[in-house]
Amino acid sequence: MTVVLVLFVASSLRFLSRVLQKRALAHVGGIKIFQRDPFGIMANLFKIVKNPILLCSYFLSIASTVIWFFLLAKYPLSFVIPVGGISYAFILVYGKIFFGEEINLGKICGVTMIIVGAWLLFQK
Amino acid sequence: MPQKSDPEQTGHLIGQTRGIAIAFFCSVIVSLAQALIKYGFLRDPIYFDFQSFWDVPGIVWQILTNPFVLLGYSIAGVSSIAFLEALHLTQFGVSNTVLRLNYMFSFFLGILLFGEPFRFDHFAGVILIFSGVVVFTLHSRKNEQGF
Repeated sequence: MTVVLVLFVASSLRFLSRVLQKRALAHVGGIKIFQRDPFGIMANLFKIVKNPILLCSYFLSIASTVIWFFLLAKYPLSFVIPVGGISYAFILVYGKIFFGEEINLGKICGVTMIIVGAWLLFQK
Repeated sequence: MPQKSDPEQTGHLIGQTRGIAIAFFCSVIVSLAQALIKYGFLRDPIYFDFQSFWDVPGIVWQILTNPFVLLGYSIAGVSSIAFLEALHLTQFGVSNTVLRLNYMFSFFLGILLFGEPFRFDHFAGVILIFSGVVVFTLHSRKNEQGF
């Protein structure tokens, strides 16, 4: 049960990070890191550093990664990575709450299959 | 909608195939990176002992000084850049589903590299999770993340 809770926290942080990134990039107007002009790269990196929302999103993303590391360190690889699929259930709920995305039968079926699969993995 | 000409269709097909191949490559690489990170934690155990907020920098420092974890994370980073190319060539649903094959790769890597026990019900669980991801993606809104 702890794994599910920790996965929930990690997925929530990652989701929030993506939402903030999307908002910040819409505000800044896109950041091109991969380009030939080194001054252009510097200018774009400066855009990131200057933007508090974007910085906050990266902080959340790092926090989520550290939580993932915790899971990888504590549980078997053959268990923790596939169980990570549960994040689709959280995505479904968050998508509905924050973006009013449609929840259809197909999505519910998919999430149910993921939950049953995770339940099988939890069996000792 | 105007019909695409033959060379245009062939070009589109080649692009799609290339995108799927890149996503498959990323999936394998991500699984190997995860295995490397796991190996790093087994070799130099990190104690995630969160008693207070002030324990966090120490834990982050332990992670940053673990060469296998750093290498694995860097490889995963490179793979995420390559995945952008896959996203450019195919729809999100296709490339994301191919990427999720890493659930299966990691399952087998755990068994082969770290001697984790194989069980058929666990294997069935992994297959079910992957199938669930495919079904979920198939029913996601088109142009948003579906096929």
